Amino acid sequence: MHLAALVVVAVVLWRPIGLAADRLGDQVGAYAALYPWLVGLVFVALTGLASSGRLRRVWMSIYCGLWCPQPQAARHRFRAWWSILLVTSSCSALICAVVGLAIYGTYSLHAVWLGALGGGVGPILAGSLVGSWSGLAAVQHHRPAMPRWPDRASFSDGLGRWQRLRVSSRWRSSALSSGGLLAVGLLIPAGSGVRAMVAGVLALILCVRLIVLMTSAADLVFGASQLLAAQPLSSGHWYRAHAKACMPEGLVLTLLIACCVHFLSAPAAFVLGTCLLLIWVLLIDLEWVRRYRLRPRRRTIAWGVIAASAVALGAQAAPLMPLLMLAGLIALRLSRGKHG
Amino acid sequence: MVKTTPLMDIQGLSLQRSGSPVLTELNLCIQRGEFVGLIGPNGAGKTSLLRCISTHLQADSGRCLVDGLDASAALAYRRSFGSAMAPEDLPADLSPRQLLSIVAAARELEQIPEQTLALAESFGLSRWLDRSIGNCSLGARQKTGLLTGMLGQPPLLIFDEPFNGLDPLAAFEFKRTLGEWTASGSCGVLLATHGIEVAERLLDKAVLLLNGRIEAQWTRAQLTELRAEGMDLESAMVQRLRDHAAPA
Repeated sequence: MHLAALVVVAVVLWRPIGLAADRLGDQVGAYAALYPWLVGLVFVALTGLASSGRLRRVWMSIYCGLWCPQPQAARHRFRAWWSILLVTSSCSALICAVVGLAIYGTYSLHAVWLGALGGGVGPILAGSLVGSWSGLAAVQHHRPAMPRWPDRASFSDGLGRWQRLRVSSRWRSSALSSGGLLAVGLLIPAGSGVRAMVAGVLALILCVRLIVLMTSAADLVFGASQLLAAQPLSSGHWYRAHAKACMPEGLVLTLLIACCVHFLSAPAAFVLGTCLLLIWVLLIDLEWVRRYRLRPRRRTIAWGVIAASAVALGAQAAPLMPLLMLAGLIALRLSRGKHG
Repeated sequence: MVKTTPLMDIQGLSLQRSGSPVLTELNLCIQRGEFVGLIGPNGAGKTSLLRCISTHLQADSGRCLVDGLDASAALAYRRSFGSAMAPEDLPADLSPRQLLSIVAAARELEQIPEQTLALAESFGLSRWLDRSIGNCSLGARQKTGLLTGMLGQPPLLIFDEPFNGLDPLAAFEFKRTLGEWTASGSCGVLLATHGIEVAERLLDKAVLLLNGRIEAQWTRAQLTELRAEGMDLESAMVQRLRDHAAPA
């Protein structure tokens, strides 16, 4: 739902927002040329206005209702503060990038960073929101405490629901998704058409979602395997439950990413290759989660070796391959006998 | 005379960790309907023994049979006991009800048994059942952990320091329930605790563990004799520990 809402907002509103930003950019650009200090002061005043009083409550309702993690206790304040700060700064950067494009016609990295760091909305909102327990109460008011859970559920259903809960929580709260949004703000292809921009943004968001899905679901299986070690569950129970929870969403994400790659004007062979590669990644991770369920460090090492190899190949450093493989083997050997 | 198979039979169990012996050639039997307390100082090996029985740890030698099954019959073996989860291990993002539902599903039960929900009610856990565990008090988490072990009333129940964080009412209900279950002969209980005075009245057998070995055992009759002599389990245990610590 969350992802679908993002996609709909991006697709439906991108064009009108772009046009409005164009007009606004012309006006602001004209005034900024004549009265730069005045425009600066107005920007600061608007920022202050947006992060105080009733408008702040509106921000909270939108932001806390859709995105932010629910702080469970006082010790989660910093995490909530950091998450809100990152996401609002990322949004701020994105808006600055769009406005910068509209005003100057080119992509300005300085404008984006300025927007991210100087946009007062994020820090002030985050600070005021989590600075008090009333702020936490406001967040808890906007998000229900626990999702519904059926009375009768098989182990697969139960684990699947737990995984979705964990993935959603990580997707909202992790630095990965927030950092992903910031990356989106920075990596918008300059000078491209609107369709390519939308496709690029969506592809990045979808990739982040896929990574969050795979890592969070696997982490949960590793943790739950320890927790439920004394329960009568076979390896097959875990495998089926994990596959049932991850593969449908993983395949949909793969197809959506392939569509985005297609809209970026990539050749058909590249689109097909991307699709097959992502499906291979999903399947191999499924197998590694099954195989290394009780030794999660080995999966990390295996992925590390593949990532390093891919980087080495990408940089045309094939001679490094034997060295990398040797390092991987040694790391795997060292991890034997420990818990991983 | 009919020879009954013990509910749990530990034979020559040994465990080493980082080169140091944790359990050494340990033998212990529990009969169905028996309530056994495992006592001893910190580091005696109580938790390690419970973790070996519940397959969290793999022993280096020896074996443990529960209901005639050993750990090689993995699923059937694990169905034959219930081990309470430690409160610090419980997942913060689930509610107690959700966790119990997953454990019930793992034990191939369609839903959380009414008996478990009734126990939750009597423990005073009902109002915490639908909050996230991260928001629960230590007592509520301890009660949830205990229920994960008692769910489905398996033949052998294993608890490690079950009274930590329990309020008096919940502790009373917990002891009463275990007393009823063992009295009916439907299950046996193995409980590791430092709360000797709490457990003493319930126990059919107390086992003193020291440096990974069984140092002493007292049956119910011996415990009654101790009381008649004006002693109790705590003073008997302290005496044993002092004897052991004294230079030869």
